[in-house]
Formats: sequence, C-alpha cells, structure tokens
Amino acid sequence: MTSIYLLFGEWVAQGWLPQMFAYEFLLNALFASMMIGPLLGILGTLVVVKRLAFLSEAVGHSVLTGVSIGILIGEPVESPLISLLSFSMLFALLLQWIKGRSTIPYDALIGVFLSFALAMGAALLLYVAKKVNVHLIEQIMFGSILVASANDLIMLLIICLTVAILGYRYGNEAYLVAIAPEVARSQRVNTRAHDYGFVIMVALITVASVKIIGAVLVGALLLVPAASARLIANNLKQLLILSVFFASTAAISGVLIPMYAQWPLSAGSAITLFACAWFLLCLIYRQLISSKT
Amino acid sequence: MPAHNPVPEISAPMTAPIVQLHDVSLSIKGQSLLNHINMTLEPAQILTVIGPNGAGKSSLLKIVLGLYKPTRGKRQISKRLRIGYMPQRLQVDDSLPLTVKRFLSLGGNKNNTEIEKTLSDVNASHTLSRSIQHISGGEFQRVLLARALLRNPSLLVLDEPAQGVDLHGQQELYRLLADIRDERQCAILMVSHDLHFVMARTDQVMCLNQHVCCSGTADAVANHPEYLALFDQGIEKDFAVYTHHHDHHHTIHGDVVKDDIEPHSHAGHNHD
Repeated sequence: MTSIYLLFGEWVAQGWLPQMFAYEFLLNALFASMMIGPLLGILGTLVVVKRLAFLSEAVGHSVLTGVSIGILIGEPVESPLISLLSFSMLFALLLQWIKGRSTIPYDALIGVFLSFALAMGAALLLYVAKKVNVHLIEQIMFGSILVASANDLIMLLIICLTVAILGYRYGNEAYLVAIAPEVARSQRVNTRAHDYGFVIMVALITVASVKIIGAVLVGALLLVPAASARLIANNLKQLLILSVFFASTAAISGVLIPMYAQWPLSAGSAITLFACAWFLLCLIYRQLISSKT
Repeated sequence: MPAHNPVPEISAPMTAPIVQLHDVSLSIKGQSLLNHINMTLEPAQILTVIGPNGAGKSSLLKIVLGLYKPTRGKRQISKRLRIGYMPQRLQVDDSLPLTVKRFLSLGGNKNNTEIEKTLSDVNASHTLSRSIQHISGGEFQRVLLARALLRNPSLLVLDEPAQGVDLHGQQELYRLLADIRDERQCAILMVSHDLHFVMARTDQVMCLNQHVCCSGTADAVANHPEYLALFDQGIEKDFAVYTHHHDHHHTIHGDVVKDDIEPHSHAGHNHD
C-alpha cells in the first residue's frame, strides 16, 4: 500500500493530480469505491429482479445495531467488523429462514425486521455514542471517506473476488432461479442454497460498503443503478454493463467530487445523489426515445 | 381408425419403468391432497392426467418432479432419468430484459446451434431475438417447451400445455408432442385442462380426484360425431374423447361411495 501512496504523492508533486490525492484516506476511499461500485451494480440487477430492494435496506439498517453491539463488547470503535459481520449475517439468515416458514407476505416480514433493526440500533447507538464520539452516529448512518483503512480494502478485495467467482460459476443459474424456481428445481438446482447464498452476499457487501456509504444509504446503491439500467437496457448484457457503469461512476464521483469542490457532504449522500442523477438521465432519455417512436 | 398408435417396440432391458409411484399420499398443512396413488410410467409412454379442479393433478406432477416429498409411499425413478419440465405459467418479471435466446440459455444450455434447432423444432424460430415479455402466449408456451426439450429429457413433464391455446393451436401442439415422442423416444407426462378432450396419441389416461378414479386407454373421437361436426381439418387425428368408467362416485366431501350402495345421489358428483 505504501508504495501506491508514494506513487500518487509523486504524481501530485509533479502537478499531474490535484492536491487531494496526496491524502492516504482519500486514496483508500477511492480504491474502496472502485470495488464497491461494480459489486453493488452486479448484485443490484438480481436485487431488482428478485424484488429484494427492501431486504437490502433492512440489512443496511441492521448495521446500526451491529456496530453498537461491537462497541459495547469492546471492539475498536473504527472497525467493529466482527460483530458487524456476524450480526448482519445472522439478521439476513434469520429473515430468510423465517420467510420459508411463515405465511406473512415477505415485504411485511422485512418491514418488521427493518423496524426492529432501526429501533434497536438507534437505542444502542445513542447510548454508546455518548461514551465514544458523537460524530460516530453521523459516520455510521451516512458514511464517510475518512475512515476506510487498508484492512477494509483487503476485506473488500476478498469479497469482490468471492462474488466474481460465484457470479461466474452460478450467475446464469441464479437468474433462472430468480424467474422460474420450480423449473430450476426440476433440473436439480438447489434453489434454497441459491436463496441463502444470495442473502449472505447482500449482507457481506452491505457490511463491506457501510463505512463509505453509510447504513441508511447502502441499500440505495444496490437499487438505483440497477433500476436506472433497467430503464434503458434491452437485454441482460446491457443491463449488467449499464448497472455496473452507473454504480461505479456514482461511487467514484461521490468520493472525489465533494472533496475536490469542498462541499460539506457525506460520501453516502453524494454517492446516492449521483446515482439518482443517472436515474433521472435515464428517465429523460427513455421519454425522448418513446416520444420519437 | 386406431385411437392411438401402439407404444414402439422396446427391447427387454429398456422396459424398466422410468417413474413409479407406490401407494403415494400427500397432505400439506393437514389437508389431504392425494391418496394412495399408484402410477407407472414406461419409457416413451404418453400418460395424460385429467381430473376436476383441486383434484391434485399439479401436486402429482410435483411429486414426480421431486418438488414435493410424498407424505406416505414411495417415488422410484430410474437412475438416468432426465426431466424436462414445462410449467403451466411463468411470469417473467418486466424488471429483467431478456431475449428468448438468452432465456433458453439460462441454467446450462449454452450451445447456440442447439437452441436454434430446438426452437425451429417447436416452430418458434422467429422469436429467437425477441424480448420474452413481448411474444404472444402461444409463442411463449412453445418457447417453454423448447426450454424443456433443450434438457434432452427422457421424461417430458407438461402442466396443462394446452391451456389458453385455441383448438387449432392444441391440435398443432398435440401433433408436435407426438412427433417429439417418436423422434426422441422420451416419455411424456401431462396434465390436461379438459376432462373429455385428451391427446389422441396418448397411451394411457389417468383420471384423478385425490385418488386414481380410473385409468386406461383413450377411445377414438370418431365415436362422437357431435364434436366432429364442429371441426374440420382432420381434427379427429389429434383429439380423442376419454370415456370414464367409474364404479363409484364422490360425496360433496370427496369421500368415495361405491355405486351399488347409493346409486346417483345428487349430493355427490359424477365425472361423466
């Protein structure tokens, strides 16, 4: 990592890059956003097809509780990763497990979980924030470019590679499971494993990107780019490429532009706003196309 | 005119049944759906399941497919069984832009020439690069059939394939299925939405109302000039009427009543 920082430092000194690239934290945030963008873009297409937008929102909110528990049991304030990972994972798995065993509509069930996660998180977070740092709440809820560490980058990279491998091997099957689960099962595809695997991936990615985007808005980047891509894509390939493109550009510009222009914005809201700008553009483009024909 | 062609001659070791249900019962959440079903499906045999709504036809298919586990009884399948399943309905969400070609390649079949060939086998080549949400119901059904065939199945399971298709469409479909059986030597198990019309080439018909009411071969449609008069174009080659021979009927609760005990009570029902 140090050599990369030095390299960028040199480029700044030569005047090729703006001053801000001399900061390690910015480079960390930049690399993180370069990994988060494509990840969320790819998974987002499945989230939209499976109608799980609400699920990713709920898992995002569960992070609030996870962080508080982590701090309470004495994990480091900046990265209570273990409790975060285990709580969000547990939360997502429990949700999926109950889904298979109850007659409540799935969105209502997610609603119950989401309310619980938010209420519990709010209650605990206020309590622990008094002990540590009030700005912590803002950071966790809306993200920050200040906090990504080299360890976070490594974790992100591992998650990226895992998703890439799984996506390459099972991606095709996953779409079949999403649109025709019974046909998939008749072909001896284990649809339950697919469902659980997907929920676990959503939880993993949520946790990995929560530092940059924040608990409240992490669901947005799973949803908005894929929804924007859907507006103008004509086939599956276009959908994937556009979704990844929108998510990546939103994530990267959300980190760089506010810093460069010195806007007092949190990274999460900037990224989400850029993603929404793509959505707006796609909407306008589609209107123009359809009014022509 | 023969009602059905005889099952092609198959050498002895091949004749082991590909699917057998032994005394299978199914209940879901305390509600009994199927009772004591015995069923045998031979290679390259066409079996049509008929029965009123709620008779458990789809549940029976799901047991054969392995989607449901029987509450009692046993499902035995041959080791090399490959199933191609064509569901009754499939709602492809609008949120997924998908061409027919891409749809057919989901879940394994990536060979383009094979996809194109199978699609032309079911007379749907023209849909290849169209969006799956923008083809007609009949076209979609043929695409679903192509999907099932791409599995190169030894058993084709079809859930009400003729539903929502007009009579000429049905005629075409039944011809297609007969050709598929003759060409590929795969067995076909299908549910028919109609109590009286079944595919003429079907080897066996099974009438289901939570239990097997009766089963046997289909009679020729020629016996029913009324229907013949309605349609021309040689429809009699593809349709047959199955006449029910029951020795019992059902009370309003579905209980079996032997006919000699209480003949023709109006509280019960009668399949004819």
